[in-house]
Amino acid sequence: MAPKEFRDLKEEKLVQCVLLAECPQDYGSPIMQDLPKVLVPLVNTPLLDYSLDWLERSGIDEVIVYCRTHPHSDAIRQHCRDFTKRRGDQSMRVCVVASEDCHSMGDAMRDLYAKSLLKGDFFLMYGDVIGNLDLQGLMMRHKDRRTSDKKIIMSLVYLNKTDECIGDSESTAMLVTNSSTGKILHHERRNTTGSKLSVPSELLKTCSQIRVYPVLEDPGIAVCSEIIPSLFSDNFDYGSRDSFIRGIIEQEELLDYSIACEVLNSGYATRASSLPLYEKVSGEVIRRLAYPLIPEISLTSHRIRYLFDDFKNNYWEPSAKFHKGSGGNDVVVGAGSEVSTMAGIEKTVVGDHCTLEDNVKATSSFIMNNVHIKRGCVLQQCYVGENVKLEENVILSPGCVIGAGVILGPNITIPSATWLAAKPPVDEFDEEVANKDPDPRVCGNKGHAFVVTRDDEDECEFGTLVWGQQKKEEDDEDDEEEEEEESDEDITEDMHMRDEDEQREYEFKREIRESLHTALREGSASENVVLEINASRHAYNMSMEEVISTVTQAIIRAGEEKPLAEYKSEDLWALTKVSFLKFKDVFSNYIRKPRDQITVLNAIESLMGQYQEYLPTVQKVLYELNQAHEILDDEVILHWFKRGGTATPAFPAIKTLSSKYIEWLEQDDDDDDEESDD
Amino acid sequence: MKAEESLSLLEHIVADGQWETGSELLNLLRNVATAVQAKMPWETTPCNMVHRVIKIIIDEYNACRGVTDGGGIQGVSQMMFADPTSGDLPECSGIFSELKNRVLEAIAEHRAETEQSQELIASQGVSKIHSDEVIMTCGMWDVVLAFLTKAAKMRKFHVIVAECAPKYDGHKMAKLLCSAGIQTTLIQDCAVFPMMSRVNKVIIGTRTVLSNGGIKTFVGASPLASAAKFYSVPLYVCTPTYQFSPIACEEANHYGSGTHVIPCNSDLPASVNAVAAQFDYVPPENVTSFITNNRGIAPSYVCRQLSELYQPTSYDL
Repeated sequence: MAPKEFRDLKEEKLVQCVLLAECPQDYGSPIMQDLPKVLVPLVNTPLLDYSLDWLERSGIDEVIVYCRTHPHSDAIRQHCRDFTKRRGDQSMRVCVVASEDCHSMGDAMRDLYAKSLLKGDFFLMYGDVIGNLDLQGLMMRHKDRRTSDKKIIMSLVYLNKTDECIGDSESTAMLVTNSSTGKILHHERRNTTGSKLSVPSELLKTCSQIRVYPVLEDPGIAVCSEIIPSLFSDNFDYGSRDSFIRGIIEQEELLDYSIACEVLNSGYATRASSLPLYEKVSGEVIRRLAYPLIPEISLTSHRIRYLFDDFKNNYWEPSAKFHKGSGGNDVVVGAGSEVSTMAGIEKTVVGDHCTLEDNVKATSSFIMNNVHIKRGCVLQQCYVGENVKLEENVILSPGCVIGAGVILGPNITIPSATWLAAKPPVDEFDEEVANKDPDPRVCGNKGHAFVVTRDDEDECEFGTLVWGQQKKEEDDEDDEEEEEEESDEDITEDMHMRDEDEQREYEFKREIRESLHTALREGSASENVVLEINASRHAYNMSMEEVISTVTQAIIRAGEEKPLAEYKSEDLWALTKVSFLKFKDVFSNYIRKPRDQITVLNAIESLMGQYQEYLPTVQKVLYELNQAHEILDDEVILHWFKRGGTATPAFPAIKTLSSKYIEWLEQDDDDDDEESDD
Repeated sequence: MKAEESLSLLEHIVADGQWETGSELLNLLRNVATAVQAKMPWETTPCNMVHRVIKIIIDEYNACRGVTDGGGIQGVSQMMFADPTSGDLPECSGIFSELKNRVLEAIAEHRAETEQSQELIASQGVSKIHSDEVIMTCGMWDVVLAFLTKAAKMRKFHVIVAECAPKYDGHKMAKLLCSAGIQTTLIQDCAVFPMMSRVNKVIIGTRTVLSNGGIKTFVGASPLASAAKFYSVPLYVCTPTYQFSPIACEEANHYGSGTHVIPCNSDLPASVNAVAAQFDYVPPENVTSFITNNRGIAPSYVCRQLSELYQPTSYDL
């Protein structure tokens, strides 16, 4: 019976997942210059392995790892190839897509859309996430939501954990949702140290049942529908994930799309995005919160590689010389390592083939492979890269990051939050200072290390903690602190905006000038010119005022063929006159109200201020616009002059040059009044 | 389920693997056993299946050769002197074309037996449970459920179910027993000792039966068994034969995530270590009898059962 057979031949849809190996936050250049972030070992397993293993256990069919070509895409490719080889034919497919300039999630999505690699609903997450959530369940619930409501295009996954979150703005979010439909009404990243929460009041107008989640842990996992890549490629404004979410929520009525959220109360998923979070996640993995991703089972071969002491939560490889007495709690010791019985280590991860001699005290530190630490060293909250050698009595203060291959000399204290690398930093001109010798004050007599200064921009994101520094304690002057923080936030936000705006304005002006220039030269019809101007206006999202002032200035300058200095003022005027004649209709199209005329006058003033060469022509310009083309009214001009224009330095010059004209206007005005009285 | 899956895998290896002599086949199977043991030592059922199939192969091989290997029933003295660590698997280097078919047939027989094991155990329930008895059980075991529901058709009795934290599958068991018409009471794990004085029998399931007669089973079985011993209440363990394992190790425990024990939203600081063990050991003195497919076995008889099931020299692979 035919229909039954057809029903059996249901198409098996592939479940795909996109892993973004280029994550917004970084571990810092001493680590990142040798390894991509996703291959940095966390508890002696590369971060990427956690994600791939979790995805495989959840039954995902295909994983697309997206990375940037330059630094490390080959290493990532090789790693993924090894992964699939170990798993055999039936396993999940892993393909690595590398692109030259991918700076954000938006670029990655656009690239994937162009390559048509995504078919159907897919998961979108970052490469540094570690989790044990049930992905098939998430996908099923997402699909159910979509069938019941066609407008939902994305489901964001959050975890509701009320424990002490590290106040990192990247990893937490504040959500306001519609509690009956689960759709997100407002999404914000904020500093969790403040105690005030601001909820936009417009939301209360639109929806009667609201649920506010003040702090949710955001593992960066999203279940996306197939429309999402095309949305990214249609709108180039969408760069980061947050801007996309904001864009969709703000334009909800326009685009008719909405985003749902799934808040889970159990399960584990976190991103090890920055170094403080790396420390936190490492501790959680050691305490088996990410079961079944446990340290004793190697995620590469699935064999049991470590012995486990449940009482003290220690893991050690059978070949490691690790005495139970030396280890405190939460310690992991890799293969072939030797930890002396007189050492005291706690909450530390030690890699393979390391040696820790007597009286070494290490707390909350991460020591990679082949490290030799001699007696008397003290490490606290540090990251020590591969092949590092620490001589006697080196004290590393909290937050130090020691890159691979560094040697630190005896009896030295490294100040807090220092980054050290084995090679000298490249200076501004990208040249390595080849003969630079290591500074003994920095790294000790036998040492070899250079201090890497980090750009302040990297840290300025509000809310990020610098590793090693204590969390800001909340005092009674809560309000004061918060106001300061808020104003800081506003300032940085404004500054940012201004740069973007200025960029846009500049581009817009340039475009308008070019269009008018060509229009004048080729003699195009005014309607076409108006169309061009309107198109530019919408493309750059400019307000009417800006359009008018730009158009005015552009029209005045449209006739310029040569650099300004070479013109004599009469010639300039001649060109401007021609231009006015030509673009009269364009002017009258845009200038409808007196306010627009004021804008024109302001524009003229600023032009005169910028380009002194035009100053002699100002009177004629005004006369022309007022009398010949009747674009500017007398009263408006007079009012503007009386008010002093926009009070720029150019205004007095303009006033003197146009004084005769103004007098004439005033007289004219009086005459008109008298006439009308009659 | 695990037993059936393992058997399917082994059938697949026998049917489609690359082997000519019996020894090559035994090596293939040996690799399976070592791999499973290295990755999941607590999963004993697949390993037991491998041992069983090894025994089947050796028996069939000997049958092909026309040599009977002591008829299968050895005297106690013979068993005592057969040292499991001596020597390796017997050499099966002759090539017999019918070996493959015979092995596959025997495996199919064994498979049928495995699938029926639950039924067979359940049918022994009527003889074990008398009317108006109070039975205690803990957690959710399909075998025990079948055992009790089948007996309930003929007898009337009460069941007390301990909820078995942290999974709390005792709740599910209680619901299913209720819908089978059995009068059920649900109690906490810590209430096991106080209630034990009223109990006539304790019936539990297990994951593994160790070679010394003890069992390795869910967390909470040890206090339950000790309480039963204290009140001289018989403890019966319902287990199919594929759970009899040649290992003797009670130590290999597996630890799950601390979140199984502590709820996620609690504000315990990171310095508190939450341990969630998965297994518990009950020594053979506390077990009265094993109820298996064929018959009831006392713990002291377990080693004899093992010699029937497995080849002594295959214990240490």
